Amino acid sequence: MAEDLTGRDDSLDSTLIQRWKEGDERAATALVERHATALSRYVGSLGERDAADEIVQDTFVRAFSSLEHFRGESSLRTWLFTIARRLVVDRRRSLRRRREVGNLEDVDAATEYTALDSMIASEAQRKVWGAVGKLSPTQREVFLLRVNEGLSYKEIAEVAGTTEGAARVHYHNALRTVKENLND
Amino acid sequence: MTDCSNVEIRELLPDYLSGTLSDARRNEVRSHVASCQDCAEELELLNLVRQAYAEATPPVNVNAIVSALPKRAARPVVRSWRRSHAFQIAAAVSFITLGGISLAVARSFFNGTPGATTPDTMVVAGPAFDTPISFAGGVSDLGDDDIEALLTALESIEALPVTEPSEPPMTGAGRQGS
Repeated sequence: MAEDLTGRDDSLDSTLIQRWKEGDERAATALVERHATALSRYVGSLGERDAADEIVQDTFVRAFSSLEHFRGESSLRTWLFTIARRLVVDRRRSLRRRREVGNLEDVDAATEYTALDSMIASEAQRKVWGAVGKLSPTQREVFLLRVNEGLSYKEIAEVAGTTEGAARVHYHNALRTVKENLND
Repeated sequence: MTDCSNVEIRELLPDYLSGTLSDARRNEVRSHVASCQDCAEELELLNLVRQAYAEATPPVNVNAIVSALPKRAARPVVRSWRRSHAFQIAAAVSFITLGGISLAVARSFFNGTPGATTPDTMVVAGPAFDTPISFAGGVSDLGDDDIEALLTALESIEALPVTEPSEPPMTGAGRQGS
């Protein structure tokens, strides 16, 4: 699924939200179209590929349930990522109670990345994919939010529940590790 | 693959790929990358990451998501409790204020007037008191009939609201008949 990852127009989100508040249901469709794929990519990178569709849907349902009160203190995209992450954590906690899965840090990313290897056509992309898969869960999350979604360190800190400085350190450590993995 | 020493430009590479830079910044990055092998390789690496993840993104059903969204009900005219009860609140505040002022006036009348430290003389008038009762010298000076009449009058007074009387209930200052 190739998608244009460029372009984050927060003012367009604000306009769409306002239109939705005024009763324009098509604005809701536009908002979902703008963010659903990025959310799915993010949820998938957290190790929830199979449940991504369901989690993304829940994310939008929750967001729209309280969109009336959204004050725009953070960008809509950041807010959606935060909700999605919380849903992933809740899901893992629920599954862990049933001893079906570990917590967010216990995802066996290497196994999953190997299984998905065939989905990527390019050899170069496969190597990069494998190198990213060897990162720690926190490093990988920060790195992908920065590279794939273009979030600032401040936004990453908001989503991942860390500090701006820590997010910067995680990003650069991750980048260095990926480069080392590619050189091995 | 080594790291360029220009940290500022390296920090901008993800934003360059995301298309969130201003034109000036974008040109600055492009110009640097054109002459820097390290940054060109790093930019290529970041771009490969983006492409790989774009291909492996789990599919989403936009229509199903939109269908599941809570329907937006017509917004009723919601008036806050405070606004809808403004008149009642104002009336209650006025009532309490006037009552307080009445009490203060009555107290100052009893206590603040020179020579009138105690309500030695009282005239009570009301529905149960067609004929004013007057006494002087204290309760001990009242006869049984007077006390009975006074108690009857007090029972009827308790039910009356506390408002500022048109005339002070006390007549005169100082003892009468002493």
